[in-house]
Amino acid sequence: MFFRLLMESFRRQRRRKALAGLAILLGTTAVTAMLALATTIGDRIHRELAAYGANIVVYPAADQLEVKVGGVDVKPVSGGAYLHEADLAKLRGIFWANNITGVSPELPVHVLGKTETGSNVDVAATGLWFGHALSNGGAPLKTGAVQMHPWWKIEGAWPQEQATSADGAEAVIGASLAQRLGVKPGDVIRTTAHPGDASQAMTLRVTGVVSTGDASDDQLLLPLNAAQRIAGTPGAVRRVEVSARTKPEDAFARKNPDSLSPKQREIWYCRPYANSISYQIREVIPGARAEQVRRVEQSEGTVLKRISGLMWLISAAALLAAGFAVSAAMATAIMERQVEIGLMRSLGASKATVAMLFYAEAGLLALLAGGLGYLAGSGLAAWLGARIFAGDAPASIGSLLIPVLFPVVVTLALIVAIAGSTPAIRRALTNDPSSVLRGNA
Amino acid sequence: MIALTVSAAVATALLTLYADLDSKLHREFRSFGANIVVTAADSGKGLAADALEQVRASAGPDAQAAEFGYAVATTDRGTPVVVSGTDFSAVQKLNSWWKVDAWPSSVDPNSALLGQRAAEFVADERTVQLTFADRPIVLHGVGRLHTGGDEDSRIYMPMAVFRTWTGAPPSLIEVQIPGGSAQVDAAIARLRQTVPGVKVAPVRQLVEGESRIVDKTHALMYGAVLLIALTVAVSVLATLSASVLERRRDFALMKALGGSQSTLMAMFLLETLALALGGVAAGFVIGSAAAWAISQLNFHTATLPHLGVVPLVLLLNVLIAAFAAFFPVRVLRRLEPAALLKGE
Amino acid sequence: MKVVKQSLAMENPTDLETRPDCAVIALNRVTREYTGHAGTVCALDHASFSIVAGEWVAITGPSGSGKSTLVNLIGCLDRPTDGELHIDGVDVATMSATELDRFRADKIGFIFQQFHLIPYLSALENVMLAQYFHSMTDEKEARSALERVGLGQRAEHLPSELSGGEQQRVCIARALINNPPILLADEPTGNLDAANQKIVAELLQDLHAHGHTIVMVTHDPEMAALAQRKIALSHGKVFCHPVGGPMISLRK
Repeated sequence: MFFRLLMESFRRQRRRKALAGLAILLGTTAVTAMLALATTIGDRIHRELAAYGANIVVYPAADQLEVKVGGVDVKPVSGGAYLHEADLAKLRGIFWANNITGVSPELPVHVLGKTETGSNVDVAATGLWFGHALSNGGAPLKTGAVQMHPWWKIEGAWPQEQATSADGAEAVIGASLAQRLGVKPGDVIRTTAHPGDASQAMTLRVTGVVSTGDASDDQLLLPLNAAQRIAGTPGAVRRVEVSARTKPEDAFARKNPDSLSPKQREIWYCRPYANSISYQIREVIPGARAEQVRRVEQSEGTVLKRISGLMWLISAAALLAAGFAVSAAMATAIMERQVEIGLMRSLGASKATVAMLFYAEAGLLALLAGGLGYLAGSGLAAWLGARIFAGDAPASIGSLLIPVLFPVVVTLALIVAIAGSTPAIRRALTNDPSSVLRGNA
Repeated sequence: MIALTVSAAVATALLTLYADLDSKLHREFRSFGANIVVTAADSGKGLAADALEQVRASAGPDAQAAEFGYAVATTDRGTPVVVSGTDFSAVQKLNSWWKVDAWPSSVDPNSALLGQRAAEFVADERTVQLTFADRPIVLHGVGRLHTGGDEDSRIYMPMAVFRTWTGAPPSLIEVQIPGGSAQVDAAIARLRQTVPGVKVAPVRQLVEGESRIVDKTHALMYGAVLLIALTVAVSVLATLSASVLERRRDFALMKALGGSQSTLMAMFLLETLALALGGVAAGFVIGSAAAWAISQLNFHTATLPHLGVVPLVLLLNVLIAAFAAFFPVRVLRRLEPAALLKGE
Repeated sequence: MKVVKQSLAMENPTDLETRPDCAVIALNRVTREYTGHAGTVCALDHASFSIVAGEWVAITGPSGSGKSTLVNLIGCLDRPTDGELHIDGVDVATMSATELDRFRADKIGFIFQQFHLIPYLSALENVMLAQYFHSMTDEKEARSALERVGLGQRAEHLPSELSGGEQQRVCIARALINNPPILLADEPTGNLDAANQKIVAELLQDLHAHGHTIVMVTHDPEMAALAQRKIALSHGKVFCHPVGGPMISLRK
């Protein structure tokens, strides 16, 4: 009979329940949307902040001191230590491999040669990855200098790594250098080999002019494999810039892992601090030193903390507003049914039974409307996310919903619906059933 | 009344935060360091001695600026190393991400900061022997500098000592302008006009990236405000309906006593308006306090109550009240005084 | 309108002592006071009378006389400030609120002026509701109760689909379903037209003939005339007199 009461109440009194249902629906939609955004905001901000450049840098431990002013190598170091390009694939196998969103190795070389028009070329050049697929057997990560420097602007096309052959390669030229030498896309630069080492002469076809806003404007940018041929150092990499999604640094992050107890160390290792990711990189690439680029990492952490903090606080505000709305709506719904309550009391229903009935209705409403609200909120969050952070990969339906949010939101809806009904139910039950029934309320 | 107060409070809090969001976020971005770089037009000659003062004057009182001079010296082991002269107190304010064991004091003019990589090529960090063009100098390293960038390979020393030792002029001034791309562009234009013989360039990735992120956070908050406003509207609707239902008999009585439809509705709407106004007043106080608390909590700076928010909150509240009143007004219309008073 | 012969049932105080065991309802100096900001109002003032099983009693009086209070007290919807109130031999003043709920479900069948049916339940379900709060639902019994009042064909209809008279009959079926010793009817025909009044009156007479105890509050003198005995109230005080006889004050 209890269930019959419940069912009939829902079946035949839909309009009455509409307001309360609407309140719960809107409330859960708001809370779900905000929570969904708050939990994914880290990802999104990181992708935006990736524009600032890499937050982790990897270089050979045994390296010589760089003599660089304003990004320009004043005394280019020849010889010195190198990292192996082949080792970089191991980055796809570290614990936090999925947090690494970009890898860009560099090899600075010196290019001597002539342009087609006969001008002498004596410039610095950097070998880079352009659209390289990095994989260690699993899904490849398409990455390279272009992904890591989104503020670089190209007139023409980026060079193709696959076009590098024994004697030729594609290249792009920095804007200032292009102006100085009078080189345009389509021109060719012939390089000469350095006498006495394994370097090779190459024909560089200029495919574009790049404007970087930094020292690279005065350089040639080549595919890494071409630079390695020019320098005569196959597989060599001087420096690697890595972009990783990290957790903002806190006091725990700054601890030296070797000084922690095994259990603490495991916790430290399993958190994506820039420090721990650097640590893991050092573990897999022999002879390497890896550390956070503080300028980017610290600031990224700060900005992320602020924005995600803001999102969480707004979520709390949404929860508050929702809770209030639901309470008010439940109170109204219950107040309309004073007479019903009085009647049931007069028929011998105990206060507890009547309360149970109304709580059950509130609970059922919360489940139904809450479930719908969860779906609506997830959709809204996805839409907002896509609109605001345009450029995200189109998400499948499955990734729209965050499963763990469902029980959380529905439980919240239940709690709020029941808590919101309580004062109204209590008041309704203390009313004198006789006066209610006689219309004297 | 409470519902309208809550709605006004929430609206106030969110709108106050919203208004301040831009400046708060831009402040956070300051930790990225300089967004403008000033170099000499003629790279051979370096910057004039008074260039820093001129830049500071032009950039404005909120800006941070620090000048740097560079030279390549040789360590006692024969390794070439970049030495940079700068003003440490200015750098400390400009580049808050520099992780430094200890900042050089102003007491010892020969105190220096060693980049962590440079430090490994030096025999004794406390007494660093360097030579520049056959001119020797001994610096007292007070600690290491960790940045993960090019700074790690340099040795930094006070500008005055640098100038006397190397004779090189400052070659670079890093400037930090608070604000978004609009302010940065304006500052660049000002600098180009007022400071002669210099090249002024924005640090492109910083300025662009910052504007984008601030805009996006803005949009997010906007969406959130709308959503929450809608939710609150429902609660107002609920309480208004409740109050009408409660007082059905009073209204019915007035109708029976000869009150016309329109009088009744006018009364009800007026009442609602009064409540809305009252709610706004109370809500403004509570909302501003909430915004202040949230701002303190999150951004660690206060957000002051924003009077400009009031008209918008008022409009919002009145709109919500009007929209929410629609349904109870319909109920009022359909009141049958006789039936109601008889107790049905 | 059938006029049923009834015996003179003139009460005097001593009768209370002589027939306590047959009394289904017994009031002894029952008082109910309400305190508000205007002071204390005495709604019922030292009422004492008893009602025997199988009696049909009409309670009359102008509004403000305490009728509602008396009905509420007998119906265990309210508790006396002072005095003893025995229903079916039990002193209800000693019961807790929960016990009172159960007691009420057991002993009293209500029939209201405004029917008070649950609008989203069918006639059948409304009757089963009373069963549910009392003990267990039994659909067959509920159906036969509806048939008894002549509504067997309308069991699945919602109250909005039934006429006033039919609704009241559903209420009567509901009131009877748990076989309570007392039927408490509060202006049962107040909201009905003449034809429906007749139908309900006949139903009540039929019930009375079967031995049910009916306590009925009514304004309608015709309805009152059907009862065996009248208890009149005025300003909270009880006046008892037989049908047609002069008024005799009971108060000492």
